[in-house]
Amino acid sequence: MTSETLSKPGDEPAALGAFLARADDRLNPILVKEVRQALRGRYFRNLFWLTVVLATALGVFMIVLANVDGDLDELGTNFFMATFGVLSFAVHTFVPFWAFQSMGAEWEENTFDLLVISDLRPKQLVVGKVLAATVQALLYYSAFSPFLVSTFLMGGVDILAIGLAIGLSILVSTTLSFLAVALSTLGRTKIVRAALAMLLACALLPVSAGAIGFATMLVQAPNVLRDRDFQYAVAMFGSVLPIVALFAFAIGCARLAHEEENRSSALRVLASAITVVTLAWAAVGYTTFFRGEEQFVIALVGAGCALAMVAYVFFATEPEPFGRRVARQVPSSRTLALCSLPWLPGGARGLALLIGNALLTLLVVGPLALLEGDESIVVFTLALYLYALVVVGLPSGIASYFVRTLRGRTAVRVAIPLLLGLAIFLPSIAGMLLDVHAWMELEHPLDPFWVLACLVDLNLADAGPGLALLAIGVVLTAIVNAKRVGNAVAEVLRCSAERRAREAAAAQATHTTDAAPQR
Amino acid sequence: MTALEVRGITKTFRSLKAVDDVSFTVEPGSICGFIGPNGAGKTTTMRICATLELPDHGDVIVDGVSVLEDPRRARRKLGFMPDNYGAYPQTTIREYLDFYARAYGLTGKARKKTVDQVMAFTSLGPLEEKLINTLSKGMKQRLCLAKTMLHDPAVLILDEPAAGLDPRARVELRELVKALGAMGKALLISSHILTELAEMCDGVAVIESGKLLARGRVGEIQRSLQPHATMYVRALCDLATLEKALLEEPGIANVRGERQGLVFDYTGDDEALARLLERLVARGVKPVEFAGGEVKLEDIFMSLTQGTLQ
Repeated sequence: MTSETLSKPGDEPAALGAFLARADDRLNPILVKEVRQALRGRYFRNLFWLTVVLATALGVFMIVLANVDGDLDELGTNFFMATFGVLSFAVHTFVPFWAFQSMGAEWEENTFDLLVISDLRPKQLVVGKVLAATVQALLYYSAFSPFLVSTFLMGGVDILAIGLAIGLSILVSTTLSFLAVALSTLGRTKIVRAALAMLLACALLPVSAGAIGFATMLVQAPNVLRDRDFQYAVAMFGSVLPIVALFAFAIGCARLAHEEENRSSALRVLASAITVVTLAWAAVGYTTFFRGEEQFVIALVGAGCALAMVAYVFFATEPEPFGRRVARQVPSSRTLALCSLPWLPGGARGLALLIGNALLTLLVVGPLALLEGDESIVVFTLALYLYALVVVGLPSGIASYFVRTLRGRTAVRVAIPLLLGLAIFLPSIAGMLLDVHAWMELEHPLDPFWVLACLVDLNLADAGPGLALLAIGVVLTAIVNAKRVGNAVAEVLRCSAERRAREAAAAQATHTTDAAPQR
Repeated sequence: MTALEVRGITKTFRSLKAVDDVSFTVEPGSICGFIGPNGAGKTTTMRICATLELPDHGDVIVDGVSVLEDPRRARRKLGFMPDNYGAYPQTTIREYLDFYARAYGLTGKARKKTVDQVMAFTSLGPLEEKLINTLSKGMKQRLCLAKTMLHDPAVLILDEPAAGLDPRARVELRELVKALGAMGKALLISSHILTELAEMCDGVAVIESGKLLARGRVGEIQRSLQPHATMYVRALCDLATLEKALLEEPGIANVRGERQGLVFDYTGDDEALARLLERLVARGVKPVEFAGGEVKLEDIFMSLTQGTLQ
C-alpha cells in the first residue's frame, strides 16, 4: 500500500482524523484547560502518587499480615477494605476539594473576568470544572483497578458488591464535585472562601468515611444485595443524587450568570423536581413494597420538603422587581404568565412556589392516605408545609418592607435558620432554668418537629398549643405578605401586557414594511 | 454605525456615585483616551462597557448591541483588557490562546490560524511554548492583548495597558494600538501616562468624580477651555519693535518674552491668523518663526480636573 492510498479521503485514518478533529472541537474548553493545568500542577500529581503508594503499602501489609496469621479466607475482604479506603479518600475528598479550589482560583488569580467576557456560558464553566474533576477521579479508579481485580482474585469478595461500591462511588464523587463547585461560587472574598473550604472539608471527610463503611458492609455481608428494602434504598439514593447534582449545577450557573440574567427559574424548576421525585418514590413505595407503612411516606415527604427548604429561603428573599432582561421574558399570554408566576424570580413568587409545591404534595398524598385510611399522612403534610410557609414567609415578609441591599438579604437568609433554632432551643434553656422537664426535652409548642411528631401519632391534645401558634403564624404570614404577593402578580401581568404591546408593535412594523413596496 | 456608545450610565456603590450620567461615543477606527485621576470612575465605566458591571441607569451600545439587553452578543463584539488580570501559570502561550480561541467558539483549522495570526501580530510566535509564569510584564500585556483580539472584536477596551511597562515595551504597545486603530477597530484606552495617550489617541474623554468633564479632540478641548490660542513669534528685529507691532494688531493680548522671541495670546480663527502674519510682514517685520504653542494633554488634564478624591 502506498502513502497515496493511505491519505485518500474517506479511508479509515482520514475518517478517524476528521472524527478526532470534530471531537476535539466539541470538547469543553474549560475541561481542556483544567486537565492541562491539573496534570502539570503539584496538587494532583503529588496526591495521586501518594495514594497509589499508600494503597500498595497497605495491600502488601495486608498480604503479609494474612500470611503471618495464616488467615487467608479474609484476605480478599481486608485487601479490598484497605485499598478502597484509600481510593475513597482520593475520589470523595481530594477530587471534590480540587474542584472547589479550581473554581475559586478563577477569582483568586483574577482570571474570572476574562472568562465571563468570553463566549463561555456559566453552564460550560461549571460542567468543565466537574468534568475535569471526573477525569481525575477516573484516573484514580484506573490506577486502583489492579488492586480491585486482585481483591476479586484473592476470593471472598462478591464481584457484584465491588461493582456496586464502585458505581455508587463514581456517582457520589461526581455529585460531590458539583456541590464543591457550587459552594465555591458562593464566596469570592478570601475570608469567606476559607470558611467555605473548612465547611467543605468537614463535609467531605465523613462522606469518605461513610463510603468506606458502606463498602465494608457490602463485602462483609453480600447477602444484603438480595434484600428488597436494600435494593429500594439504593435505587432511591441513586435517583436523588443526580437531582442534588443538578441542583448544585443550577446554583453554580445562577451564581456565575450576569446580574441581569434570570438566575432563579432553573433552581425553582429543580425545587419542584425534588418534590415530584420524592412524591413519585413515596407513591411507588407506598403502593408496592411499603404498603400501609405511613412512616415511609412521611419520611419521604419530610425529606423532600427539607431539601427544598434551603432553596425556598433563597427564593423568598430575592428582590421583588424583575431585572430589565427578565421583565422582557415574561410570557405574552396572560394565562401562561400567571401559570409561570411561581417559577419567575422574586421573593413573593418564591412563596407562591412553596405554596404550589405544598398543594402538589397534598394532591398526591391525599389519595395515598385514602388507600389505607391513614389520615395522619395528610395532617402531617399539611402541618409540615404550613410550618415551612411560616418559617420562610414571616421573616422574609417583614424584611421585604425595609431590606433593599444584597447584604441585608444575606442577613435575612442567615437569620431564618437561626430564628428557627432559637424557637426550638430557647424554651429548652428556659425549661432548664424553670425546671420544666418537657421543655428541656424539646417537647414544647415552639418546636415544629415535636408538634409534627405528635401529629404523626394523631396526638392532637399535645399538639394543640403548637397548632394554635402555627395558626397565628399563618395569619401573620398572610398579612405581612399580602401586599408583596399582590404586587408580584400585578408585575407579572404588567410585563405580560408590555410584551403583548411590543409584539403587536413589531408585527405592525413588519406589516408596514411588507406593504410598502406594494403601494 | 457608532462602534461604542455610552448612554447616560450611572453606577453607585453604596453611597458613592462612581459614575454619574456619563455619555460619549467612540467611532470605528478611532482611538479614544480615557483620562482622569485615581478613583475618577474610569475602570467602573470600562467594566460597565465590558458587561462586567451593571449600571443603575443608562445603557451601553456596542456595535449596535445593548450590553443590558443582550450581554452575550455584546461580548462577542468587544475585547476587554482589564488593568488587573491573571493568567494560568501552568499553561504555555499557545495553550492559553488556544483555550480562549475555543472559549470564543473557534474550531478546527480556523482556531489554529487565528492563534497563529494574533501571535504573529503581537510578536509572541517565538515564545509560544513558554510557560506564562516565566513571562515578563510586557510579554504578559502582549499576551492579554493577543487574547483580546482572538474573536476579532469591533471594539477594544484597554484599561491601563501601559502600566508597569518599560519604555521599549510602551513604544511597542503604542505601535500595536495604532495598528489596531488602522485596522478599523474602535479603541477606548485609559492610562495615567498622558504623553503616551497623546501620541496615539485621536480624542480623549476626561472624567473626574464620576462625571464626564470633556470629550473631543485634544485641540477642540483646548479651544473650549481657552478661547484664545497661544502663539510664538521670532523676527529679525529687536523685541521692542516686534512687541509694538503686535500690540497694534487686534485680538492680541498678554505679550511676553520667551527664548529669543515673543509669546502672545491670540483670539481669532486660522484665517485671521494668516492675515495677521501678512500685516506684520507688510509693517516690515521679518518673521523667522511663527507657530502655535503645543497643546499638551497634561495641560488639559490639569485645567479640567481638580484632583477631587471620592
